[in-house]
Amino acid sequence: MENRKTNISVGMGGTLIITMFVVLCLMIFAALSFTTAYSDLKLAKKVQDMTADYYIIHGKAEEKLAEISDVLLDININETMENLAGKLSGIDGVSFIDKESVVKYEIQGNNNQKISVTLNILHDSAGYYYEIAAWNLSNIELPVYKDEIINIWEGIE
Amino acid sequence: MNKVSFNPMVSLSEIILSVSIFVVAGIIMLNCFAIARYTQIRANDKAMAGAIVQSDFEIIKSFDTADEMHEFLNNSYESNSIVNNTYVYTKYYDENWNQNYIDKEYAVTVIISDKNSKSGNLVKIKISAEKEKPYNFIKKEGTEQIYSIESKRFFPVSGGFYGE
Repeated sequence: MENRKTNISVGMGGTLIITMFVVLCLMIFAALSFTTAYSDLKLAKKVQDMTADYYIIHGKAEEKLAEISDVLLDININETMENLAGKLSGIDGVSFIDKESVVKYEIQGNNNQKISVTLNILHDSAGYYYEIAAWNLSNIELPVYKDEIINIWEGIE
Repeated sequence: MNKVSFNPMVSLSEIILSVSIFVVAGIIMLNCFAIARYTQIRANDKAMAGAIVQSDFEIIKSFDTADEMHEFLNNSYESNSIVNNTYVYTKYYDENWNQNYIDKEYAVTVIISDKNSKSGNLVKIKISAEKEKPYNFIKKEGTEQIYSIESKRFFPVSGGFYGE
């Protein structure tokens, strides 16, 4: 059998090229892992801001509810509806709808969210009280979507 | 038979240069990996603390009276104190966010201050999560706040129920 000898050589500068390639690969991995972690942290902070804002407006809505409850407690059962409407409308940001005996108010947050509250005003022999009809969280401004009209084939006439 | 022999043909200066480049780049990369790891830990802590804080807040919101709220907090929180009409409840977690009184890594604190109104009880609630030791790579001393929310809850004496 013939003995063949094959020489593999990286040659001059080969080591440097391999080192540079390995370093570049590791650099990319390091940069990617840091970017991923940092974007996770940014997302978590954003979620925290939104959540904190929601709980702040929730607190303000509860505060207003306490004000309305105080007013209702002070109102005598024999007082007229006009008097009741006047006292409730006196609270900042609160509107009283006479026909339905409904109180409405909104609390707006900083991050495009608001809480809209609707209360039914009821009464019994003891006096006036409220019932929470709606307590809704919604966006202040909704994004505007453009109508996309697609020309579709309508068939052969 | 085929014989394969490896002939590097590299100079000493090239090896020294390669190693020095690798060392310099390695230090930067290790730092980068370490910062990435602790940033990820911070992000995970924030997410976990947020889940716990929100969950407790929603439970508090669901109670009809302030007494029910205090009963829940007394039962589920490990330590409590009252200072100037302000209630402070604290529970502790270990590094894996399991409730643990001995291996304290994180603390969740609920601060409740009463503000009585004529028709009920308006309470100010602040829930925060803190890390007992500061994170690495961050020059801060003492506890570090991870998450905090503040709100109010009104417990009416009469009425105030949810309609259909």
